[in-house]
Amino acid sequence: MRNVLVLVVLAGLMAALSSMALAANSDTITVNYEVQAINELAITDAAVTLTVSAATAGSQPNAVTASTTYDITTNETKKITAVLDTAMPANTTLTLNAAAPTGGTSAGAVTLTNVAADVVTGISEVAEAGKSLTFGLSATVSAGVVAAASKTCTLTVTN
Amino acid sequence: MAWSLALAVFIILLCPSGALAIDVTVTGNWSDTVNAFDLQAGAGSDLVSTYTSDAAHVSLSVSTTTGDTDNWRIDVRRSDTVWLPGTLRLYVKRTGDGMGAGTVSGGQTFHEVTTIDQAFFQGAGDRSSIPIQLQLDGMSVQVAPATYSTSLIFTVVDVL
Repeated sequence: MRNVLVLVVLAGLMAALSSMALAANSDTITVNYEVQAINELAITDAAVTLTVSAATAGSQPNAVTASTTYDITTNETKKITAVLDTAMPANTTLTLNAAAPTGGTSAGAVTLTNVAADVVTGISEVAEAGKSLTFGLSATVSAGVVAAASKTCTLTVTN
Repeated sequence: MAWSLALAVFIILLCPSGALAIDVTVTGNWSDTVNAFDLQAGAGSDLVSTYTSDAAHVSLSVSTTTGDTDNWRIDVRRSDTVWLPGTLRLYVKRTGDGMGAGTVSGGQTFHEVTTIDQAFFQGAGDRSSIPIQLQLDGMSVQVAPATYSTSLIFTVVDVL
């Protein structure tokens, strides 16, 4: 009789347990998000004008500067290079001093030629606007009178 | 005799009752691409941080209940393949009731999906095509280029 009672109790416990939490079932969906490389740079002004027109007697002509700004967004590690479409006339020098975004390093005033040169390095995962670009123009008396002309300076976000 | 009777009762109670387990079916994988077009305002600006799917991008159905009083609960969790757990956050929200004689309630605000099962919404009886919306938050230029992938696991739990 005692054994029967134990068995009945066990059976009751089994029934209770089985009704409280029936087998769960699952299904799955997948979420895929592709983040592409993003490297965007925009210069505020379409052009800057530099005119060498004055000097102190006994000295080379006064150098001049003109400024604009640039905006940059990158989700990678990059640098900015600058290059002119054609070389400057003899005895004239064009420089660019580009401010670095947070974490980057400016190369200071870099002489611009028709060969790309680093102006900012070590740029990493940043989105900043209004970084200064300061162009400088200098000429020696040996340049003579140089007629007004245009150069295209291209800034590139690159590896 | 008493032993035989007890054993018979024991065996009968252990036998399956013949009722199927409640079933859940989910459709609607979510894929998207983040690129320069998702910048808030072009160069100099960061990426839009939050991305939301269509309101009924995911469809969930509950079936093989024992009837309209058979209560159930949907749990949800995440299983990551390539993810940024501290940065990218995924949310789900029930945007409709679906169809069927059963009932459904809860889950109508965005609920963050973690790697641990958490209750999402509940109901009773069979219910089909319950619409669910997904949301991804935490995107920025600090998120390196890659394809980030995770699975959302929906589990139906039969409750008293």
